[in-house]
Amino acid sequence: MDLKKLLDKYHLNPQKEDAFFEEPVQGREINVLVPGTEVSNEYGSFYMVENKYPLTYLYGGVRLGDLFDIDEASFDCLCGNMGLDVQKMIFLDTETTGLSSGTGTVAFLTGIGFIKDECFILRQYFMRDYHEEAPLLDALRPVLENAQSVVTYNGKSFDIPLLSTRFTANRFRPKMSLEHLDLLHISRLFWKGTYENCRLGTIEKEVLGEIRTDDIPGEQIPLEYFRYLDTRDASVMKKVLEHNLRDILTLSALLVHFSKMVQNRSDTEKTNELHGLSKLYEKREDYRNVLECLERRIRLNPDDCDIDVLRRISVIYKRSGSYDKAVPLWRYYSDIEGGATMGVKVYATVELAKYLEHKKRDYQSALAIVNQLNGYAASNRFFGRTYLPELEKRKSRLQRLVK
Amino acid sequence: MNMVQVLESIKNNKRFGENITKWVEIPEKEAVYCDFPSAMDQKIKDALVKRGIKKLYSHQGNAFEQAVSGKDTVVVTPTASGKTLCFHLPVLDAVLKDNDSRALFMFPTKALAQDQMLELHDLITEIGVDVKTYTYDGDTPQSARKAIRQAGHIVVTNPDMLHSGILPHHTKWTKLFENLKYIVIDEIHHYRGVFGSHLANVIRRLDRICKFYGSNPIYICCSATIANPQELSSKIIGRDITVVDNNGAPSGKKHLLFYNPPLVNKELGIRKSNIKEAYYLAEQFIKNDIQTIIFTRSRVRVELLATYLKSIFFGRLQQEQKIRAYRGGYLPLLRREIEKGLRSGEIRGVVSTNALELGIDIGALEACIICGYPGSVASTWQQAGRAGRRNGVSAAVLVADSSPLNQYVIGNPDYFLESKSENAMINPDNLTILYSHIMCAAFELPFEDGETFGPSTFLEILKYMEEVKLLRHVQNRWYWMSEEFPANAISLRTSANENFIIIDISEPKHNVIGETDRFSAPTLLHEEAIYIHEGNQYQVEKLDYKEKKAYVRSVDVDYYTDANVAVELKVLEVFREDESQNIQRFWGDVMISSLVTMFKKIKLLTHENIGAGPVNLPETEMHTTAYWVTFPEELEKVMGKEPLESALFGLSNVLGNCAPIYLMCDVTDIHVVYHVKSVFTQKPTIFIYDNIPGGVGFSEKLFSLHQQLFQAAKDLIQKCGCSDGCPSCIGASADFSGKKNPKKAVLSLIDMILNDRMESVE
Repeated sequence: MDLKKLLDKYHLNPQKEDAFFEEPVQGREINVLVPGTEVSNEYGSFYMVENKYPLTYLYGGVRLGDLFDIDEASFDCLCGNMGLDVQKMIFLDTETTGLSSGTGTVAFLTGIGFIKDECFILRQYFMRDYHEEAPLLDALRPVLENAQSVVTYNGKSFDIPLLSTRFTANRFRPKMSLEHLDLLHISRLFWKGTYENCRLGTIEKEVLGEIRTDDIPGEQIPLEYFRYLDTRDASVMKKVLEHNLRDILTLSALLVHFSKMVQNRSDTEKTNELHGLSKLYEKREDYRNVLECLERRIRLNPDDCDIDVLRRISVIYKRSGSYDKAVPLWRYYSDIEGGATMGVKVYATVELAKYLEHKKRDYQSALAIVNQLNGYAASNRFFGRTYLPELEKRKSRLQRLVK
Repeated sequence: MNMVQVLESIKNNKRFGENITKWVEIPEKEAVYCDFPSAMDQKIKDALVKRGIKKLYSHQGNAFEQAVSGKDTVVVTPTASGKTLCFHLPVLDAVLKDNDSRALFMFPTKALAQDQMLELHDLITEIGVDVKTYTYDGDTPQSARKAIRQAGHIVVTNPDMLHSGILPHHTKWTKLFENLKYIVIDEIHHYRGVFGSHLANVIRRLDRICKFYGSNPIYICCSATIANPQELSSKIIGRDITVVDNNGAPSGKKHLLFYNPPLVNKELGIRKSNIKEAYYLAEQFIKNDIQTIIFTRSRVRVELLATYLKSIFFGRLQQEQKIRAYRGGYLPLLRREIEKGLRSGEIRGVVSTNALELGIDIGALEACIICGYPGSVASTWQQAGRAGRRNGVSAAVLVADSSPLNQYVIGNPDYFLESKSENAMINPDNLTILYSHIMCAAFELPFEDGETFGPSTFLEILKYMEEVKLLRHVQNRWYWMSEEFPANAISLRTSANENFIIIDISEPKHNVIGETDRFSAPTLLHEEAIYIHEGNQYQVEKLDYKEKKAYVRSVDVDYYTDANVAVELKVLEVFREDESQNIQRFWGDVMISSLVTMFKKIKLLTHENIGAGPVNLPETEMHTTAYWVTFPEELEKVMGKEPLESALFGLSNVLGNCAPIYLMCDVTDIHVVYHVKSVFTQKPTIFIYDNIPGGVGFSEKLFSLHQQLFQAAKDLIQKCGCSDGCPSCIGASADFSGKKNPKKAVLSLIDMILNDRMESVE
């Protein structure tokens, strides 16, 4: 039996949904649909598309030129490095042949945005076929080596390791020492749980108010690229390049947005932003600012305070011995009514009791408030089950101490 | 009593003595030493001296010399001969001479890798140099992986991890691949059949990666004693290899006993339970404070025997802990505790599955009882090797069960003692397996025009992959063109990744109890089938053919089921043939299609047919390789159709049981089919085919063994105590129709083959 029939017999291949249709593509080649230049070097050639935007260009509610307004304090907060220079910063996003890690996944398109000569330049490096990878990477290499920092969305675990795998697989050894600002990590601090997810498209829509029409869904991109390789019909690739371009513009707008949030932290009315900022400062171990954000957060809407906020502020107060501030807060939440804040109430009361017991040695008062809380918890079946055992333990210990 | 006295008492005890079919004394062997190789780093020499090693055994020195002179080497010596030093020494020497040197160690199991690490650490500590050694397997925490990739001098892993965790991510391992000096494959005889065929392809991929990073590592392999270590290991590493087998390790006197439990029912071939017999024998040793290990073939039997043996110490507080069970499924911590107890001598008896067969360090015990032939001579020697001290007497007892394979071994101890008949077979060019690894390799690095990978059909396969759009050929290279990560979908332990899993739903918590290949599933796992697993009966309640899952429930019934399979065998191509006058043998490609039409319920013991049911499952097809033998056409006339059919049936049974003796495979890895008049040959024909799509080389080997195989079948039948056939030889006599003695008829067919003459037929 011949080999081909045998291979067919084994059904060794995942069924491809449909054969790529082959129509004449005259007039739909990449250089016709997306104007650009062929770049050549000692490794071969690849295709490059460049777009220039004036700094007054408005995207996602901000001007590109606003990047210059990001101050040292913002950079310090966002990535812990106040010395970043937006003129030496690149915004980067790749489109790939798959999502898996490993050496078989290729970045067929790498988009880079940067500021040069009073313009925002968006340069896209595109492989018209696999053999164009080496020349493409060779051209990309100096850009990455000369930049001071890179801004990405999930680039820490995806784009940058992937590119470095590509460099290694092509025996290049670029010397990169990039400060990496991965905006996904910051988005998660602010909006995890607020929106359905923290993907760039979602954040762009919800936060920046940009609506994309006719955008290609990311999961279709690999297959579309394979189709392009086969047919040379670049009509869908045009959309992919646009998709990549907008992702990069969104990155720059989002960075400006984040820096504005940092700068406006004393004026903002948005409690979730303050919450997010406090976590960001926590990462930088800047507890003065954490406290400022949390205190402002509580002041804005004290009755709707989640336990995470209360716990974190209490820890800071206790660590610095600021009981003058902590005790009134605990008293406030200890007296609060309503089921949804039961966790807050229990936490505050227990903290108060601990304070009375250990700092004041006032066992009587401690017992009194624990007793009161106990009765409260017992009357509520759901919360009672969660908290009662621990409260009972505390109660009996206090009773011993009172005696 | 000491060991010698215990053995004497066993010999003189009528209860045991008359069941011993052979008693072999293997004399003690003096050590053969050699000086430390002059090229070896002084620090290693000093460390060895500190450990009390002033000279090496001859094979250790030899292995070192071969390896450092750049020769790929396979070391073939028995258990406990100090094999690990054969690769530890050259590897450590390389690291000491050049701190950038790297080595990759591969062990077939994770447990073994862990154990080897400890030993290596000890030696490194003694040397006092910072040689970083890490295991890298599925259990390695993510946080530690980066450091291992960067800094590990010696990376210890298993083939599965290399396949799916290291090779596809080679760019993260540049340090390793650029500086790889040695690749160590321990227990290489373990990689046979499907697993070995996969490994050979993983090695092909590994070699490509090394070449890409400019390294050219040397292979050091270790093997137990098999007939073809050189053939196997050179097939696995894909190039010639030097054998080092001048074993210089000393050994004490060893007694080897072959024990056949007495017959209870001669006609049915039923013998006394070998578990009970093993228990009585073990008792003799343990009662006399002789440290003993007992190997059994299943986890259930391990527990059963351990429970029996604990009764030796019954009522004596704390003493029951002197007997322990050991098997896969125990948590690592518990295993370590038992291993330690064995080394310290606190534990006096351990019952184990083959989990302790591989080189895990438990020290040397005095007695070993092997309850049931482990399936290969190599395994048997490894298990027997667990008992045996460098000086002093030790004993190993093989206790047979009533299966034909066991009966063959027990009846032919000489076959066993020569131990040179067992071939580990692999077929790296098995199309399914090869194809999978070409995908993985293309994912790892694009193929270049002119590059080779396995057989000459490689280019044709690349073109096929291009056609189905898995690869893209552009500018002299073949690029991976898919979103998939191919290694994830490919398991090294099966050929088709299409196994059916068997789920026990008797308890609220469902439990996977086994698996079977796609081609056997319709026969074994059709709905209402009685599936027997470790001696327990289960009934198949539901077979989810699409999801490849069978749901079974534990039952206790007095019947078994037998599926009626219509097997069609079509010869596609003959590769080799040998036509003598009357008997012809062939080797070639066949297509097997099988359709289960119905099943019968058959009462245990009486074999009455007590019911039947339909089976509605699709036909399965398998393309594989087969070996077949034809008899003269006139035989049907001479013998009569029915007696001929009976004889062929009986012969098929015997062959199915004998062939694994030569192939180091499971009885289920091959199938035997007979045709009274084959469509292809037009003659009475017996086919033996590899029960693995594409085949892994079994039938090819059988083609060349031919007469040996039939001689073994003859020996088995002749040595069997029954008069006209029993399940221990040609099958239960109740399965044969007609008046003639089926045993004689089968023997006459065999004689025809051995003599290539027809006259012996009555």
